[in-house]
Amino acid sequence: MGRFDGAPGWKGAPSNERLGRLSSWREHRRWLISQIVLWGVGAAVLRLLIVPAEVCPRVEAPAVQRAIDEGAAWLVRGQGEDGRFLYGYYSERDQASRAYNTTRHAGVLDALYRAGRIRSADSGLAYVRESLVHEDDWSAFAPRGGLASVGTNGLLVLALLHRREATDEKRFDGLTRRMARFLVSQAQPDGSVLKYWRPATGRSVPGAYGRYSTGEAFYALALMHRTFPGEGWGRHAHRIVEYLATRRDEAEGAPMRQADHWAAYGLATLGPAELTEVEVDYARWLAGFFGYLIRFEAQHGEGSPSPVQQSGAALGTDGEAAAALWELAGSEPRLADLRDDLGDRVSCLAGTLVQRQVPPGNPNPSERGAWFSDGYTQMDAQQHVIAALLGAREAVR
Amino acid sequence: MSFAFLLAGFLGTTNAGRVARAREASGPEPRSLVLALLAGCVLVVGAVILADDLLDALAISPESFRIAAGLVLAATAIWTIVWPNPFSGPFAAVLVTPELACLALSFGADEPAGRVLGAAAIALALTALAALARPRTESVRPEQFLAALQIIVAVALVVSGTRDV
Repeated sequence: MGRFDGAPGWKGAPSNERLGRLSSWREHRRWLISQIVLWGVGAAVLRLLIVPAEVCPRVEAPAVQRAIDEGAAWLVRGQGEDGRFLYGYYSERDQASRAYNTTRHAGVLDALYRAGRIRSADSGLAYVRESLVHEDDWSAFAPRGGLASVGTNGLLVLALLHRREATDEKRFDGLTRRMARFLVSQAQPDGSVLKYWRPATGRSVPGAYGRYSTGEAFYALALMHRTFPGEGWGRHAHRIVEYLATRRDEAEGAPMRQADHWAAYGLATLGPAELTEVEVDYARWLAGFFGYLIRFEAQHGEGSPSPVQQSGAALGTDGEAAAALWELAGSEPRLADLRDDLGDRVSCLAGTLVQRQVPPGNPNPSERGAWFSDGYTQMDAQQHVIAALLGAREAVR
Repeated sequence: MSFAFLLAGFLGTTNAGRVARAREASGPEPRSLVLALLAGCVLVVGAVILADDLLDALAISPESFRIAAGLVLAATAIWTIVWPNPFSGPFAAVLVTPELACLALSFGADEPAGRVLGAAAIALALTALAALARPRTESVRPEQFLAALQIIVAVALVVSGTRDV
């Protein structure tokens, strides 16, 4: 007696066709199961490691403004009588860092001027003005016993120009021009920029270039050109960005073109009417690079199956670049196709940054309003995130 | 993406060389040939039409999925080149592969459906011709050549996915 005889719905001996199908199923059963396992495991690996969900918390302009204010308040609270700021803070040990970095000091001044914290920034500027060196037609800040750095002085020029925008005061125009001339004096004919000038010898330090200082000099000179058109600053800015876009990596031994958010700012500042094809291509490359970084962060943030924790400074610089390029894409027809995607990335990162900030209700003033990574926050985290959110305010409207 | 790139992607992932070898190895009935082509068409059309909704539901941007698709294409192509074993499943499923599904999803999310389906139609027609032509030799070279083409497409997808906003 066959095993199917008498089964419900069974109407006699199986047909040849039915037996053929059964045999085919048995023949390929192992293959089918292996395929199901393979597709399932493959999809799970892809989802967990390669394409986790891109999490973009929703955010609106008022929340962005509150985050800017709280971040700036952290910097102001940590400022000492000498004008310097709290450099870093370990939350688990409740301990402040004793280190200091004058380039970050200059960057914080710029962020504070942009955020409208003029009094605090002016106090930080007073600390800078105590240590100026003057040579021929230029001036530069050089900390006592230290070198004059192009990065620091580039950021100071930016801070002074943003102060001018925020206050309409022109009393520092002379100093600003003298410091900008220091940047020009460090630039080489090929567009490279020597990072240091040594007061003890009265000469530039040969062969030393900075990863970010060249971009900082470019942005500063681009903003000089916008603020003081007709004075010739634009020529120097174009020479430096052409070097950044085409020769810097080979000349300075980097394996690939460096992602430089200062260059993104500078390109946005030079504006659409003046960009060469090389500069537009560079802006497009920067947009792709920073766009990818923001997507990656959205996929690997807190709660992701494969989290990768980034510092506030790293996230902030990504946001600064994306916001600057979003602004540029709004006015440069050759980059108009990037505008919507850049807007999405800027909004996405702004949501993440607002979410990651220590909330205003936190009782510890050294934590409140800051962005921590592995239990530590540093002044440049606040600086870069504030700047990123200032750029994002328009994009999230 | 150019139409030539879309076509190259589908030529690599439908891999007419693998289909021809599978036919030589299993000697399928005509009905299985038609079913295989139909299954391939359903997979591609379904993936292209559902691409936007599916990626939205999974919260994945098309640029990020391009990277994933490129990695799947690269892995399966390397497997084909290194271990070019004949297809072991039912012939009707010869075109139902992860690489074709991922590519159709990625192209579908990036490009207008008409262009993608046009490129896929050409590749599937060539694959059908290859299956009907019954080559006399069982050489693995055509299969490996198309897998190499798939690797080129894979690299281009990954690079594009990391360079686009």
